[in-house]
Amino acid sequence: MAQLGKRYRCEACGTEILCTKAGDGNPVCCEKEMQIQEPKPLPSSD
Amino acid sequence: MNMSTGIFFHYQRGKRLKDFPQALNGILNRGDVFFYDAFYPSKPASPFDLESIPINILHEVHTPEMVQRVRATGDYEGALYSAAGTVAAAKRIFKGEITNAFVFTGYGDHHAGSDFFGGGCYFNSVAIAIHELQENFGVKRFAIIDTDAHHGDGTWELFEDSPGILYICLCSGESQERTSNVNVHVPSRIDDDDYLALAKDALKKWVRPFIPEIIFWNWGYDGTVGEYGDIGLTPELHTLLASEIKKLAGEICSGRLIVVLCGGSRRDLARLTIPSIIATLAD
Repeated sequence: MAQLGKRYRCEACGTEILCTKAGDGNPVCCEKEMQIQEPKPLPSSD
Repeated sequence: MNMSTGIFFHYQRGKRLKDFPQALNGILNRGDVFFYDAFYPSKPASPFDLESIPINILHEVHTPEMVQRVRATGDYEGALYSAAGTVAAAKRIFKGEITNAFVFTGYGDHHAGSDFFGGGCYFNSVAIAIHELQENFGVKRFAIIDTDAHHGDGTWELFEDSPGILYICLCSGESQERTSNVNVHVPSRIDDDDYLALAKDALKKWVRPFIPEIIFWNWGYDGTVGEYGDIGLTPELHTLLASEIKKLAGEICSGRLIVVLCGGSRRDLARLTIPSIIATLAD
């Protein structure tokens, strides 16, 4: 299931998308599931 | 007026913003909302990645010694990306890509001066953004409205002698005016109606006649009931404030408004107030 606000990238063609509304499916590009991009969390004051 | 809103976000280790960006459900899918986030060391940069700030730009506002002291804390990267959101928002507004913006931060702004920092603030992102707009876009008049519960000593110091920059701070300190810095006294206990009346009066008396080209809003929810700076405000007050400030921005500076998240620690209040403010900006 795609996650709201997460970025996905096609490893074949480099297309990148942002999930703006989550649904049951996973995004597909170039006939393959796109890969979720993992951000690096940074320190914060809390 | 055709409005579009930018959201500037970076992922954080702390708990306060753990519900984001998921809590932006119903906002991100709007056609007039753009999401810029950070950061992804393992992927090529896209036009919607939140870019960092070069160190020479930091030095335009903060002393090199202070920047070194921030580096020594181990929080440098978090501080940098907190400031980066405001700077990126300001540039994109004056490039005409967006009209207004909400900036998520991990470290606030207003306790950071030219050579000092504290209270969860490292770099003064509003000051850095103002410098960038002065240098690269020829912007001359700025207004900063600060409704964090505490006095913004850093912002006050930075703009103490800057007639083109109006700084209005609503806090518990005594009322005073110096050049275009104004402190508006807020009682230690106050209800929403009285706070809103104080804020509207400040907007009318100082901000409207100043005619800024952009408004920065240092927004904190730390004055909300149950927060560390509790002065008796309810979560709903923040949305009412957003409506008032957005309305004024629409009337005097083509809607150009940047909301910079400052104080507040509770995760539930962040989830309650932030989406509502962003929705107000986007409406």
